[in-house]
Amino acid sequence: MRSGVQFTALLSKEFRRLIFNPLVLAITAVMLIVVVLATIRSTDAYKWNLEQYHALLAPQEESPMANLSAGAAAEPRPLHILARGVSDIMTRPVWAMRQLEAGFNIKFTVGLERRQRELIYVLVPDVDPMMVLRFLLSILALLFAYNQVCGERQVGTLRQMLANPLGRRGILTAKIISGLVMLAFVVALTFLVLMVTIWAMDVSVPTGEFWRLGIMMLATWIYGAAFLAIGLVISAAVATGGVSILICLAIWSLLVIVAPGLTAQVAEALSPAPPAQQAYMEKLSIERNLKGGEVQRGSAERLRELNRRAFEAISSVDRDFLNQVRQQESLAQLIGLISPATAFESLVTTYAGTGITEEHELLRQLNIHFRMISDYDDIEPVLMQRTTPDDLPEFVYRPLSAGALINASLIQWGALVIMTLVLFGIAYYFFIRYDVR
Amino acid sequence: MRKVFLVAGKEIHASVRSLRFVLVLVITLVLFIGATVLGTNRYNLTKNSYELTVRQQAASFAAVKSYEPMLGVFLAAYRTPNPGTLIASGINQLIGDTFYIYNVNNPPQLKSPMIHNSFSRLHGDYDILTIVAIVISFLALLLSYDAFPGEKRDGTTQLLFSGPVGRASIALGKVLGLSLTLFIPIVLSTIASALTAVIAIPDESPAILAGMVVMLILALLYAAVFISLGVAVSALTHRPFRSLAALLIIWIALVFVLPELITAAATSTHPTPTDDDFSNRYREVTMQYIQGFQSFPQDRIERRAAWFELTKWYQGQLRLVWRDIANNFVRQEEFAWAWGWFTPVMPLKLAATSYSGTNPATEVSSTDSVWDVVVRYDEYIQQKIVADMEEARRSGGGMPQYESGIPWGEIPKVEFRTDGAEKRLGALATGCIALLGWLVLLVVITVLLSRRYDPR
Repeated sequence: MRSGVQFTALLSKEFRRLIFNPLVLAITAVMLIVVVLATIRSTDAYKWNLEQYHALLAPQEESPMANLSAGAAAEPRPLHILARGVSDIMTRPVWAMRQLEAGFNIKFTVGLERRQRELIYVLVPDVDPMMVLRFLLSILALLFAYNQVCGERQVGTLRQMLANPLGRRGILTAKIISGLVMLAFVVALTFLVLMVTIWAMDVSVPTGEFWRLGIMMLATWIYGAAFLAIGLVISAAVATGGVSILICLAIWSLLVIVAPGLTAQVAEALSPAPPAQQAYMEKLSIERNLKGGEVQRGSAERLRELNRRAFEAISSVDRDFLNQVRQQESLAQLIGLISPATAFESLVTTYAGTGITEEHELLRQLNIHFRMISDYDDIEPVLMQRTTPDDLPEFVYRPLSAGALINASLIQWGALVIMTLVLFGIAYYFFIRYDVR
Repeated sequence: MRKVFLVAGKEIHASVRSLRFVLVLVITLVLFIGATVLGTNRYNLTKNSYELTVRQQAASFAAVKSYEPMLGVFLAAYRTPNPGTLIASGINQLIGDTFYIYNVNNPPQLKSPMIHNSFSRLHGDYDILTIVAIVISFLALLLSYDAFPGEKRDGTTQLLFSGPVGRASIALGKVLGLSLTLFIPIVLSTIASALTAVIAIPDESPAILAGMVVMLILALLYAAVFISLGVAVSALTHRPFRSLAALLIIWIALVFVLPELITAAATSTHPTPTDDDFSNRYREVTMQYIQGFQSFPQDRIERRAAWFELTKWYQGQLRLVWRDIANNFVRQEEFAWAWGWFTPVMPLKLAATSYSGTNPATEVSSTDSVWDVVVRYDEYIQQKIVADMEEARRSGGGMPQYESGIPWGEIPKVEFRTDGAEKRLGALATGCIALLGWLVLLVVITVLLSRRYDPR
């Protein structure tokens, strides 16, 4: 009972230390402002995508020259605002090409034929609120922790604290708990501000998706905890606050700024895929060999048969090619686990519905859809005629289920949690051996 | 001046032996070399793809048995891989390097034959420009944040101030010394990455070396700007930690927030038309084109000629529609130039991408050169068909048949219009001037602040 009271006293001291820290308050304020700005920008992008999507669905005017048969895309969802991920690609329409080419150019062109929104965006990263959190919450967590051990040693309070009966484990536990609670508070506040901003911009997140928000908050919190642990380890490994903050910031710049952009390129170098052009040319020659000059002359029955064979052959080329890209992607995902920032980004994009797995699912569904259209198209292989039959099935993307999402992100969850726990363990190890003089 | 060098020498001595210098050196070396290895890898991939494509396209053109020219000749133009992407990948992150052109009635389309894995879409690319813009600025602040308060903590400020060296010389010496300290890793890393790149891509060594020199100049100026920013802010504070905190916030604002705001302003003052606007205008022009068919003359050859005339008009209209959108991108970039000097990051990025030919304006003029070829080639085909028809009529035969492998003349090679050396160097100079402006401003502020710095 007595130690419980002491522990509470220790906790409240640690809280005061964190809350009444001008730097922490300043960074939190900056973070909230930047989150609002990023949310505004991201919501604009969402609205733009939505407009495009509805324009795509609107019935096309009848025009003899309209030879595009059908366009399909995933509908932008409000949660895309939080983490843009590959949403810009997923929501851009993919066209099943002219009837003569109905067999090819389908799966292959997904996401690549889109017109860029604005070319100027190459100069700055496309921000979203989760990116801001990725950058600033990690700094904030490091600032919570970098001074916890070595700072107190410098001021001399650490020796006094050791005089109480709680022991070193108790002291570090109080520090960790107070840090985690503060992080939870900051995360909750940020998400609140974020949701209010989205709401103020006339976008509402459907209630059925609130669980995704909750999970994203949890991921953000654990991400912060990982950096809290890194900060504590360094703080307990060095003697002064100045050295600690230098090492913390150096590690931060590597883990948060450098590592994410690096992973894809490292994977590309380690597991090379053949040029996409090669697959494209292969498909072109299949198309030519199978259909050849018969395109406009054969009977409808014959054409349908040819089209189907072309489609099968082309699909298998696509599959082979995509498999190699998938290998690269999964390698990149694995390499990405070295940095909590990459794991975090994968997690939040997965739950915002803008992750890589979601894109794979979109490709799969589009392929099924276009197979249907390709069967449709070759019924009337006449040029200069409207080729979108009225009863053509509309493409509606069905997002991945909760179970599939959890399955897809299990490895990131595992990595993030284990990394955090191990780091906390190391912090205990160092702190118990820490020279308090 | 000698006094300035004296202080600078002392600063270099003090910092070169510190832990942070070792950190900075290791980080810059690893990042620069890493970026170069990965960048050359990607360049070589692009180049392989390019060569393969050109070869296969030649083969496929040879294999074509027949085509009816009016149904659309399928052309493709492939942009040669740009070694400038090593330094600033810019626009190449977003678009591919192939233009597909369906002549007669379609605008050039951009497509990417390179599929990067989706993971890179999540995080963007990683090139030397990014490292300089984000990491070098950060390291500069880490080196300089305690220029004044650090001395105070160590108790040397009073000693320094009581000597015969003036405050202005001390401030200048600190900026100079710390800048030179940071220059050592930058120069070493640039040399290392230049060597790496030249070994990996020997064919392009002149372009790569020139690009590295340009990047080095920009990086040094940029580093000096952030060093002087660090010294200036440190001259305002009396505790190193406060200075670091203020600098962190300023750094976030300059490197992340302001560029975003400037781009957001650029895109809202020059909003890009949506796909819907584009297709509406496209459809409108197309309808006019089709209606034009009704007023064709009876005679076959005249009708063909009239059709070609109309097609030419149609193509011109389509090009106008495209230009409206493209010019918008150029205007956005001009806006970014005009307002970019609010932060050192924008001039740096604009100058580096403009020099490397990966900025939006260069992209627009490249696409325009594809249009030129479309127009030229169409004209060629049209003249040839009309001439053949007239020939057939004179000789009393039937209409010309285009059945067996007609080489449609030499398909004109697309020569991508990129900015000339003058314009690229001009952009570089503008960027350098903006950075120099920042540097001078900050140094002046530092000197002024150092005058009233309280050494106690």
